[in-house]
Amino acid sequence: MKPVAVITGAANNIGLAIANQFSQYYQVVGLDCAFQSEENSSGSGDGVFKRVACDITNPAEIESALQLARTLGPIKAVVNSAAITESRASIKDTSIESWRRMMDINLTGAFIVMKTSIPFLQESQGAGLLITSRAGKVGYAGFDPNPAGTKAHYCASKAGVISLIKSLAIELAPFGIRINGLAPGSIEGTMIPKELWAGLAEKIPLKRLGLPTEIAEAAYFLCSESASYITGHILDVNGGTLMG
Amino acid sequence: MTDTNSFDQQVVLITAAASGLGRGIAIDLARHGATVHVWDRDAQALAELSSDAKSENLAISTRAVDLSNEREVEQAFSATIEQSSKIDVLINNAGGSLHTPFNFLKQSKEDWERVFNLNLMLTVKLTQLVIPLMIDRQYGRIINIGSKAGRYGSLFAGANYVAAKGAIHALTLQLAQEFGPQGITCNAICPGAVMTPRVQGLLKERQSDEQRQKVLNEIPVRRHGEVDDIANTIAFLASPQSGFITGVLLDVNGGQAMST
Repeated sequence: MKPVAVITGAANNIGLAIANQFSQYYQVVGLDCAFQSEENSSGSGDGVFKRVACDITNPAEIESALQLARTLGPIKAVVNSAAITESRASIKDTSIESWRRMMDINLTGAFIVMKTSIPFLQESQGAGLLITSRAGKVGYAGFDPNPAGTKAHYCASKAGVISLIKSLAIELAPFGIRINGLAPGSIEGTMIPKELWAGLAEKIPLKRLGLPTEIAEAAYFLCSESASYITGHILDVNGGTLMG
Repeated sequence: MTDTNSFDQQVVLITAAASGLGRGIAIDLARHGATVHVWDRDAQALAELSSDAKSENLAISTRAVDLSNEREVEQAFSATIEQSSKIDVLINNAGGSLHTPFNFLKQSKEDWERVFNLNLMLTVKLTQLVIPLMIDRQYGRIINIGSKAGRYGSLFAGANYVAAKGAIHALTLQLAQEFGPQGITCNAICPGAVMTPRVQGLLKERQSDEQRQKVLNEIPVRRHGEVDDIANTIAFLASPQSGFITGVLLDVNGGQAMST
């Protein structure tokens, strides 16, 4: 029997790629508010996984989704990939509502997903993985320091996730739970408008954007037993745009 | 997805791998289907590795090389290329503090030179030999062994070793940047203390039982690293699947220190 993995943000982009690829090795339950209702269906790739409509900012919905997943077997991996972004805006043009919504989904949502997952991951001695971002490490410094706008709310929310990962890693290690992060750089998908891809590729040492499947490979590694001594690490998958 | 066939047709070169950590890495990659060339100065340990590999039907080819001798390194390189014609993965594993004093004030110029030659200059020399081959094929994976010590300092290895590992980290970033456009990635792993016999000996020699317990209490997962922990991580970074990861210093330290 394959172990169970729960992936949030599984309707598209990185979350969908992770759900598709994990389905080779796990029974995957994908959560997303874009899903209409509980359904089993084919992914766009090889994967078949259970899709559950779920809002990660709602603790009760996360709890019941995890309970549902647990009926399939022990939950060995929880990957929080759900997040939003907005187009580039300056701080003076960022409304408080926009700031709060960003924090609510990207940071508070991550907290709710991981907090609710603790007993399930303790039972399975499993691993948690949070998708953060290069932007959470350095914002736009170094890569694209344009004073006209830096998406301060997005960068700050992802920086918060990085800090959350480290607290989770320290607090949960004694319970046998590993927690790591993935910090993608520019990845193909709907988060970055396609007309920007060619210009971005020029600034990346590998001269291309990453593929969602490449994030999924790294996610699989970090959740696997191969990474059993890695915890509290934020793994960059960015083609060399931020190093160290 | 990373599976047991992911290194089929791939050629790996790894230094100082007749025993300890390197040996574990070499065997792991060979089990994943790679042809692995192992260089080491210890002919007896190489013979043992060779016979173990044969009994398991692993494609491990060993060569006795004095890694401190540039000419021998060049000759070994030519012979290896004659045998395999390409190198997909280079693992610069040779390193260590060579029993030089821990106390910075007691380290001689020679202590620094020896440690820098082994940890840094051998990596420079060998990587300069290998990169042109990787450029020809627009593909390569260079894995350096960094260290938690190179990021944060060390309680049992001295300043010469720590500085050499710091230099390895910086070299890793520069090579990633310089050769990324040619399809070559360069990453380092930063292990905490890995329980090879050599490190166990060093810990015993340089730390009291009480100090060692204190260190263990500072590691969130409450254990030291094992050879397999490192080998598994290298198998991931060396695989074709890690192609968008470059310039990364990957911590494998049980959460003992968390970098930004």
